[in-house]
Formats: sequence, C-alpha cells, structure tokens
Amino acid sequence: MTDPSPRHGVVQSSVTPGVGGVAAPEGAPPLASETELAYEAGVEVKARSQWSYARIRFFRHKMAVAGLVVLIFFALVAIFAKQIAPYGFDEIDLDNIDPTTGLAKAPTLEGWHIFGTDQLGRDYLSRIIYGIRTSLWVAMFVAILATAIGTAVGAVAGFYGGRVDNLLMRFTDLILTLPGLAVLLTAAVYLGSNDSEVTLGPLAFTIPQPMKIGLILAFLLWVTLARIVRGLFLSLREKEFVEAAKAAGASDLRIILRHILPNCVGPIVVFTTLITAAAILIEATLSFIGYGIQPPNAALGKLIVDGQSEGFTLWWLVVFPGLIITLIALAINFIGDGLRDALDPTQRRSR
Amino acid sequence: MFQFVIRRLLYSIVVLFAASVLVFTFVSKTGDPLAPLVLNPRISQQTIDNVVARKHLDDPIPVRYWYWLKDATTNQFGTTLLGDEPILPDLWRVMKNTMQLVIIAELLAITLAVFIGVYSALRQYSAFDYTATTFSFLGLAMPVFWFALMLQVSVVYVYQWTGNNIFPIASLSSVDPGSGISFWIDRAHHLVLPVIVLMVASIAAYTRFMRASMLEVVNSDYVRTARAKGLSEQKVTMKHAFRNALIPMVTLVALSFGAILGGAVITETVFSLDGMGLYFITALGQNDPYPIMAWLMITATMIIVFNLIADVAYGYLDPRVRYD
Repeated sequence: MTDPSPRHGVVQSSVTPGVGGVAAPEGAPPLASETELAYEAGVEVKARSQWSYARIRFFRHKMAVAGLVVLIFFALVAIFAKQIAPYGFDEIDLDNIDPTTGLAKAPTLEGWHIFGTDQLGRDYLSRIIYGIRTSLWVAMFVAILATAIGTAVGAVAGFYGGRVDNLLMRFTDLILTLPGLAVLLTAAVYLGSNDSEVTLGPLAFTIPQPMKIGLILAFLLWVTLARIVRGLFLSLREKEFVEAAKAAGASDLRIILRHILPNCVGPIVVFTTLITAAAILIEATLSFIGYGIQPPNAALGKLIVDGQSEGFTLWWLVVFPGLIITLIALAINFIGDGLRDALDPTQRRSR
Repeated sequence: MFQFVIRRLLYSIVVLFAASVLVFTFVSKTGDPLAPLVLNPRISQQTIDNVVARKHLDDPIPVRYWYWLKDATTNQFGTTLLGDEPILPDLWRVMKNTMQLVIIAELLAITLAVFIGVYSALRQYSAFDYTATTFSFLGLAMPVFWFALMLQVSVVYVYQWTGNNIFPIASLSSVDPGSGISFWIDRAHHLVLPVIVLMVASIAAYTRFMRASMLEVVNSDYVRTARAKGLSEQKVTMKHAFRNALIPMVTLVALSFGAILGGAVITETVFSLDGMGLYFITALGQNDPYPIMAWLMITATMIIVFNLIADVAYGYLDPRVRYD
C-alpha cells in the first residue's frame, strides 16, 4: 500500500481515526537528525503521531475540555435516565399542588423537586431528564446520518466530477435555496405525529416518531457537509499520492476510503459537531411550534411550550429546560472549536 | 457576468418549480382542510360541496397543482381554500410588517456586529475579545424561542413586582393605537422586544464572522506591506484592512437577509406579530395549501434574488473572483 507522504497542514493517519482526535499513537516515524542529536545528549525522545499532537492541542483548549466534560455528563444522564430520575416521567402527584393557591411547587430541596413541579404535580427534574434523553438521541441520530450522507455524496461528486458532480451539486443547490424551516415544518406535518409502520418487502418495522423528526433534520443538514467534502476531494484527487495509488492498481473505492478520506477527517469531524448542535436547537424549535416530537415522548422544546401555556407565572417551567438546551449546545460548540484548533493546524487560531 | 446572471435565473425557475411541486404535494396530502366545516352543524353539505367544487378537491393532486399554477400566474395566487378570500392583499400586509421588524433588527445587528467584530480582532485575546466571544457563543447556543420567552417572563415578573408594564409582550399595536406620530410611537414600543430577540441571534453570528474575516486580513501580507511602507496605524486598519474585511460580510448579510425576509417565523410566533412567519404557521395549521404556496413562492424568490445579489456584489467588490 502506498501511504500518502505526510504533507504540511493536512491531518492524516493510517490508523482508523477516532472521534475527537483520540486514537492510538502510530509507530515511530522516521527520525530526523535533530532527534539523533537529542538522543546522543541523553534526552529521551517520544515519537508522536499526528493524532497525539491533535490530542495535545485539543486538551490545551480549556473551554473545549469543559465542553467535553459537560457533554459526557449529559450523555450519562441520558443513558441512565431510568436510574437517575427520582420520579417517573408521567408520575402525577397532586400532593405537590398547594391546596390554598392551587399553584405548583417552586424549586425546593424538599422531596428532591429541585426544578419544581408542574401543574399536575409531576416532578420537573425527572421530566427534564427524560427530555434530555430524547434530545440527545435525536441529535446523535441526525449527526451520524447527515455525516454519512454528506460525506458519501461529497466524496462521489468530488472524486468523479463531470456529470455526476453537476447533478449532485444542483441537487444540493435546490435544498439550500429552499426556506429551511418551512420545508421542515411541512415535512413534519406530512410525516404525521405517530409512529409509523413500514413494510419493505419481507421486512416490517416501526419508525418511532422522534426518529422521523431525525430523518427530516438529516435530510436538510447533510448538504453543507457534502459541499465541503466535495471541495476537499476536488483538490486531493489531483495529488501525487492518489496518482501513485492509481498506478499501483488500487480500485476507486480503495482510493476514496484509504487514501483521500483520511485526509478529510478533520473538517468532517468539526462539521459534524456543528450539525449536532444545530440538530438539538432545530429539534427544540420544531417541538416548540408543535410539529416536533409528540407526547408521550419527552422533549425539552415541548416542556418549554407547555410551561409557557401556564401563563409565565411559573418561571421554572420555562427557564430550566431552555437552560439545559443552551448548555448542551454551548458544550458541543466549544468541543467543535477545540477540534478545529486540534485537527486543522493550518487555520489560524481564531478563538 | 451577464451570462452568469441569466443562467442563474433560468436555473431558479427549475428550483421554484421543484419546490412548489414538493410542498404542494406535502400539504395537500396531509390532514383534511375541510374538517372544521364538517364538524360545524350549522354549515350545510351544500356549502362543503361548493368548496370542494371550487377548489377541485376531488381531482388528483397533479390536476389540483395545475389549477393552482394557473391561479398563481394569472390570478395573483388565487384565493384561500375555505373563505375564498384573495391571498395577495393579506400577503402584502404581513410583508410590510415583517419588513419593519427585520430591517430595524438587521441594521442594528450589522452595525453593532461590525464594530464588535473589528475591535475584537484588533485586540485579539484581550478582555474585550474574550467577553465578546463568550457572548456570541452564548447567543449561538440559545434557542431563539426560549430567549424570547425569557424576555416575556421577565416582563411579567417586573409587572407583578412593580405594577409597571414596561413592554408589551404580544402583537404589533395596541387596541387603539391612534394615528400619525402616536401610532408609530406605539408601534416602536411593541417592536422593542422582538427586535432585541432578532438582533441577538444575528449579532452573535455576524460578530464571529466579522472577527474571523478581520483577523485574516490583519495577518495578511499586504497589510504588513502597508505597515512596512510607513503608513499610520489608522490608515492601515481603516483603508487597507477594514475595507477588505467587509467584503465577505456583504455576502453573508445578503444571504441571511434573503432568508429572514420570509419572516422571522419563531419571533413572530412567540410575540404573535402579524408578519410573514406567523402567516405561514397559521396557514400550515389550517392545512390550507394556497396561502402556503403563495408564501413559499415569494420567500423562495427572495432567497434566490438575494443569493444572486450576494454573488454579483462579491464579484464587484473582489475583482479576483471570476464567474465561469
């Protein structure tokens, strides 16, 4: 296999890249004479791959590390929602309603209602925990799907060029010219507010309603990534190492996957974080307008709109779910910023 | 250049056609717009049949699309499904309202963002820069509707504590706004909160962009040359750096302005402002394809026109750009 020679400014590695630039260090690259001198002087020289440099740069970005910690925390909360939530998502307890004023409990330490309760006496902390679970699940689904589609389309368009490229790019043009939110909303109305039974030949399966929202979001969000990947492929396919791979008889698929794609990992990973943050915010917005995730599924946006309908006097119903959404989106954005610094050393640090 | 514009416009017609087919099918296939009529016992079957006959609801969707296309091109987008009211006058009214909101918010946002972005870039890593960066990250991470609701909640709480209603939290005018100057004062009072909401979202994005663009220019070779030949610092930043850093900003502003003219859907919904965005949401709730289609055509045209303006302006401002 012809390994691409390390070129300035492009993060590349022959090991499978892990998200976040965390991957096992490679074997020692050929050492320069400086290292030999250092060795003679008794200084131990550690071989570092591109990836361990990326990791060091990432962990130097304090906000990015903080973002990672916050995101991991929320991910754990989402995964262990059942174990963590002090009450059930729909557990009604009318004892939580003040008999004289008829109002729900404000945040209190008593009974662990630290986020208060709603007008049916349901514990708001538990409702939010289940909401985080749905939101993160949808965001992850969108990120994976949109990244996969965007990378595939961009790679094919950029590598083959010509008519294929033209057709695919006109299609991305079409999606970019549409008023995004309007298309999202009409599509959400079209797909309905229930789970769908889908039969594909012998296969029959259920698409849960949140997944449908995820599908719509992914359909709109892959486009920009496809254009970025296409641009990278257009320039990389002219490089000598691709020519060398062709001369060695590598198939198109092998050249795309093993030779060009690893050089695009930096921008793709950075853009995936942007997609994830966007997905969380758009999903919350859709749920807020009423065309997003439907009950009985929990959703942070839905919690906010329900809280709003209580007439603004129960502030905690509006404040806390929004605060959580902001925190998650902020954490993801900072991680993205750190990844950009770590994976794309050519770009001037514009932090 | 001329050829470029013509080709883009021809392509836009294809885009508009594809978009209209897509959305018409979506909206027509969902829900039953006649449901409120059927449920109402005071409306006779005859009335319902009339609506069905007038809008050809019994025909297959492609045929109905054809009727819509004829209405849209020869009859000013036709009429609404249930009330048979002309669509265009309503659309003009909401468009005027949206324009007021959007133009004020965008102008303020651009002015502030350019100032903050440039200053941040010139004093990179200063306290000002860090503060600005933190706030723009916050602005980008906050859901717009939540920020709007928080403002409303604060206004309500201020009212409960002090008895003062500092800002109206819904609609564009008071019940009896008066006329002349007092009408416009009343309107401005109503627009304060929505403008703040729209501004915060835009400022965050524009500031980040302006800062990055300015940083790139400040560190470029020709700015170093300008310094090296002994120009004053003010001349270097204002004449050489700033003017070039604005070029990408023009593109960004044109692009987002085109998109935002379709109505600040979220802001208008939260504050119940009678604008394009709320018009769309209302029509969507009624399953009425005709206002939605009219809205979509106007909005998509705006986006296309402003995209074109952005490209042409870029080519004009930056002579290195070539159209192929």
